[in-house]
Amino acid sequence: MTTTPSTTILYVEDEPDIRMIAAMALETLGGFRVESCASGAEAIERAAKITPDVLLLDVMMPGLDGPGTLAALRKLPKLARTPAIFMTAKVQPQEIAGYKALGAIDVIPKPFDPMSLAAAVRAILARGDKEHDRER
Amino acid sequence: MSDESLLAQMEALRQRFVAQLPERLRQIESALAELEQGGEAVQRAHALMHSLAGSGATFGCADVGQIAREMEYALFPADGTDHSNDAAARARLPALLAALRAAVGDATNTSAAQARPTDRED
Repeated sequence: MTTTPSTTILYVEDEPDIRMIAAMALETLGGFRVESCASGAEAIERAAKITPDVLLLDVMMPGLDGPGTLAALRKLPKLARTPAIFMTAKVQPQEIAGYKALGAIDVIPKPFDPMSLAAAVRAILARGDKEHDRER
Repeated sequence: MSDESLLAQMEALRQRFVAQLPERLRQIESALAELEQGGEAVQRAHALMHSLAGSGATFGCADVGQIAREMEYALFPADGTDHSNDAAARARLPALLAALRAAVGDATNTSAAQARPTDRED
């Protein structure tokens, strides 16, 4: 997907400091608009009011985890095909394959470098575009 | 926000993260001491170690994050199994906890040294 200055990311992360530094990096270095949520439940509530272009989800969260949040968001017709990216420390090939089977287009490893996070998101979205074009 | 402003804010967040490390260490020590209780105590220990493992390197404390990850994987390996009741897994914890204490000490000392004004002799 082509990212523009108005590309909105719905970002879900339970760790306050991580949430803050990632949002700052995505907004300042990447030019994204970021809607930050502290939980899956908050993300579901927020998604009813906005239409994000990208879903960026931490995997391990108390309560509703990342995969559970994505499954709930996918039930909203407007988000049924929205690109989703998981953030997790579990990045073995079989684990990444598992996340893709759940509907993510890719995974960003944790811990992440704030200075390169926005570039990583852009690269994943661009790669997703190419794969989508090939499939058509 | 300019890049300079971003860097300044990131540094402020890093300093706050480092300042909170002793308390997070204390919480992990407390959670590990309660492992025998099982259930919520095990989940709490897992969450605390996982959180520190996932954030350490992001805030420039790679050693802290790496040791926290080793502690997490000792009890909860990446394959998703639960070894928190495993005596061999628990036997690894004291050494890892000592290493974590040292890494937290290093991180806080380094941060404090960076924050102190340089003594100058004019």
